[in-house]
Amino acid sequence: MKSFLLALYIFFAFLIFGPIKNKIPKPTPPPLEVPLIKEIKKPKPSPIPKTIAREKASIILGKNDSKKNAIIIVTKVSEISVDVPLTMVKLKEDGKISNPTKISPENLKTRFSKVMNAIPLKAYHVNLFFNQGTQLKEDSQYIMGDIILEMKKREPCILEIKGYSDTFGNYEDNQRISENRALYIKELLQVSNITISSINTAGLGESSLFISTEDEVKEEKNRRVEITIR
Amino acid sequence: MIKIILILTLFVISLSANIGLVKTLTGTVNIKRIDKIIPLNIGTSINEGDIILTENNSSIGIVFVDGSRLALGSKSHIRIEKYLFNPKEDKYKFDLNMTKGTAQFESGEFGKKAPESVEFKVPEGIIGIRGTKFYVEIK
Repeated sequence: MKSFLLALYIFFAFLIFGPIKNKIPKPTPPPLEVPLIKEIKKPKPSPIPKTIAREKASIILGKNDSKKNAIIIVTKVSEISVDVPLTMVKLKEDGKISNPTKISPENLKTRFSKVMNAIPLKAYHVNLFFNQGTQLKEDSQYIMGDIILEMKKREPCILEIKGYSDTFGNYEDNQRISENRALYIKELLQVSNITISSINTAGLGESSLFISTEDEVKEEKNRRVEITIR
Repeated sequence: MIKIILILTLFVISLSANIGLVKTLTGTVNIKRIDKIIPLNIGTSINEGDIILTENNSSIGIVFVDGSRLALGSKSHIRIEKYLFNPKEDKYKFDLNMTKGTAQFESGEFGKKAPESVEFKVPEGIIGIRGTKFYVEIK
């Protein structure tokens, strides 16, 4: 009888209070406002660095003996003319050109000593004058020694020899005389044992007078040979 | 057929005529000519289309037919793209294209007769001349 009452009691208790497992409190979720993981602080975005166009080339106008001495530099976006020696400009990869700046001769020499030493000598020009035919004037004979020296300095050299005449006599004879003068000087210079890379001779007759005259005028300055040694 | 080949060969040779002469040289300098690398020496001729390449601790000086002069320093590259100097027919063109190194250029007869026909190309720009001497350094 006791066991029957106990079973009845458990039955009613089950009906009233329900299964025991329902009474186990569920774990409450943490409040949303409390972060589970510590927030990682994002670094503040740094300002975008300005891209600086790299220099691609430096250009410097050198000193020149001639009156004309200027360069014009053109890029896809800019253009500049430089006519003051020892002025430097820089080209950038975006095509922009820097403002011109001065460079000292010492600085130029430091930066470009290699090319300064390598640049070939400037051409040497000289005129030889003739009494008549292929007879050299005495003064011109003395210059021959200097010409050989200048050839030696430029060895292997390139020779350009141009013969001329004055306007005295007929045109054909003067043409022939001018050619003979050029060939005569060529022969003189070829025996100098200096390596000559090339010789270009020409007779130009009465054209290109050194001293402008009328026809049939004897003028010693026009009876000449012009030599250029490179 | 042989005649045609001969004429074409002569034509090509005439197109690539000597336009300059090597006057100074230190170290090792080569030219690239029609896919061949040829070492340069003093007295070697330069042709149109040649690419001149200088090595480290090297330099070269060249005189052109018109008297223009060019010097290159170490590790320089330049191509002689076009060279036409014909005073009789009044035809002139001189194009250089430098991509690397250092150079000094001084114009000869081109500077007097047709300065506007000279173009010295460098990265990002072109240098035009008006009878002149200048220096270039490419980074």
